Amino acid sequence: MMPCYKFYYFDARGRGELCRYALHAKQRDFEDIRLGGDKWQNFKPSTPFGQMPVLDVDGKKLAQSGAIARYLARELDLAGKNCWEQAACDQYMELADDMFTELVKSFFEKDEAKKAEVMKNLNDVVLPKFLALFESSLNRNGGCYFVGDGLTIADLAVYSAFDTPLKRCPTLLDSFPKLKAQRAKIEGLPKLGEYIKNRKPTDI
Amino acid sequence: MSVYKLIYFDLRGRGEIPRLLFQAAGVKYEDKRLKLDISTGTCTEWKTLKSRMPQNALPVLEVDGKQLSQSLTIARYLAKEFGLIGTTNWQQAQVEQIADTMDDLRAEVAKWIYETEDQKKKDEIALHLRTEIYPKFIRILETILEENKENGNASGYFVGGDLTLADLSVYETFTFPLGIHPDILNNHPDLQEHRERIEGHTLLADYIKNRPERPV
Repeated sequence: MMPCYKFYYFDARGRGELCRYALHAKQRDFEDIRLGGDKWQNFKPSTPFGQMPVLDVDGKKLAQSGAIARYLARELDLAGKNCWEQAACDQYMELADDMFTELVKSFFEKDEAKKAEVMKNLNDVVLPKFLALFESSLNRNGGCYFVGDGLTIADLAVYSAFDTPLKRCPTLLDSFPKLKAQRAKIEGLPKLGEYIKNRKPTDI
Repeated sequence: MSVYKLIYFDLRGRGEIPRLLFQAAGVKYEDKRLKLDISTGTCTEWKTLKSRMPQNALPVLEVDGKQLSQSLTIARYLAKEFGLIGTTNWQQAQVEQIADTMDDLRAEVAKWIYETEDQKKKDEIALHLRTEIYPKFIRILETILEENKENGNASGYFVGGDLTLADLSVYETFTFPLGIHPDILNNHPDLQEHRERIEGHTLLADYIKNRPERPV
């Protein structure tokens, strides 16, 4: 009997989109519950740690976006074929998360002068570093996927990490052909491609 | 049996949880520690090694020569290999949930460590840690232990009734804060007991008692 998934997060991509990608990539039905304002405050006490995202699996709740993504990856066969491949996927998810942390810093910087400095560092130092690491990782594994020879949570995590940077700079991947090609491939997947094409745009 | 090598600086930092996992599993490994010049905070050996690491960062775990980066990934991989991550997929997720939460706490404490220029700001961060951050994370952990008791798990371990990565993450993440704020667990007997349980564990006691004293 397939478990019933309810995914709770804000109406944004942020730390929730990767989990949504995983479920759509495997064409798995789930309730995509988006909360904000009073609805979020009312739901908050019933979350494990007072935060979202939360995954509800037949009434049991799981917190922490990474733990949820990895759990779903294992359940949906997006986690690699063995323990080492799982770790390899994990490694890329963590690297993507490091990049996301840097982006969050720049997004939430309120001081105008500091923000300009942070953005310059992001564009000149931070993003190039991650772009190079991801592109070379794809090349080392044959060019199509980060781990093994099929789609894993690693590919979706990197895809998700570049969603916001590409909004700011649509030509960001032009010098990174493997990353760019992989993006197009993911956007061509049946249910996931539809979801990406039709979702409401959000800033983050 | 695989041949393991852990490469990290001669600090606890992001290397200590993997080291605790090797101890808890009773598995031998090469503990390669790059020495830091404490006065300047630099490491000459790292300058030459950096370009040979997959993400130009440490820690790196070598397993029969294959390299793995990212401290949390290394911890989860070792925990899985050594059976220290729960026995079902759901339990594994619960262990990871706690380990990831502890990494959030580590990140908050790191803000205090990395504020080296503005003493006023540093003091503000310390106050924020004491009044908001520690209470928040302590409450999360105590709630889990209370719920465990209600559900029949009075072992004092966080998941599944026995030692897992979750327990080692909680233990080690509080090591540094207790150094700068020694009283934070004073009114939290369950968490103090947990700490004593880890320090008294057959496979961990000697290592914890005798490990090199380092600033972080």
